[in-house]
Amino acid sequence: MAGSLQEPARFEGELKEEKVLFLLRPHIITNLKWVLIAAFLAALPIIIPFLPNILGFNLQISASTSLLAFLTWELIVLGASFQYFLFWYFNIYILTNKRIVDINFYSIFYHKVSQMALQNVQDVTYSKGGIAQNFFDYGDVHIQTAGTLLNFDFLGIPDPEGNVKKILDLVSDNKKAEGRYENRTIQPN
Amino acid sequence: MKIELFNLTKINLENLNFDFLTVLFLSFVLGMYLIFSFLVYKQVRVLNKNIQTNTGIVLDALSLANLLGAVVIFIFAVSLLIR
Repeated sequence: MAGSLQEPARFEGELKEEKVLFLLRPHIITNLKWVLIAAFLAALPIIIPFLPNILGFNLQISASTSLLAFLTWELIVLGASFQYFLFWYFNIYILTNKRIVDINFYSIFYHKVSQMALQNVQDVTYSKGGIAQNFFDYGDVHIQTAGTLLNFDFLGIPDPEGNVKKILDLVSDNKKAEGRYENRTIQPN
Repeated sequence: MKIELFNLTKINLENLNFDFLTVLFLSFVLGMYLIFSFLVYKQVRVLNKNIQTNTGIVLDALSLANLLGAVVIFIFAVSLLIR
């Protein structure tokens, strides 16, 4: 699942002449931890009803109350799982022909959008460490900018090596285009 | 005259309805979750407006289903309370 424009996308603040070229998300395997925890918690009501008998006391709860407790538990587990899915789905990195946009969704009440023009990109590197990252081919891409501007970190994205190459190609194309524009403006009449 | 205040404040645990307390507690939890699911629904709409993709419709539907599910289960809990 390399970074690519797998679905049409537009984002708020997109300029008229701007074209979205890549839309990257963290690798789907990065969701494995919360998926397993959610599956365990969802299966827990199967074990819990037997616990009072094992521990030696009898809870006087009607069948309808048990059903309500079960539904409430499953609803909360589903709701939490949906939240984690949203965290993954809306943490995206968008590459256009003009800039790089990093959208971070931290919580239900807080998300942050960072942007950087392609001409400010100085250096792009990637890191891939550990068995999981090497086996599933995902890692972190670090984009360094000029001067005191913020650096960008794309965490857990698939095929980091390929995506670094794509970003460098984009930056190079952008700089060539800017250079052609500059050459036109300084040509004598 | 000796006033036995202790007896006035003593709670008889043997007559406490554990079933009712459970439903009351779950109703409270569901009420909180209802507010949370409404906020999630609104937030998904805002985020879909920020990033427009084809799967935005699916996410809208899922968040709405989550909200409606919370409403239905909350109504069920309240009906158990007032029966």
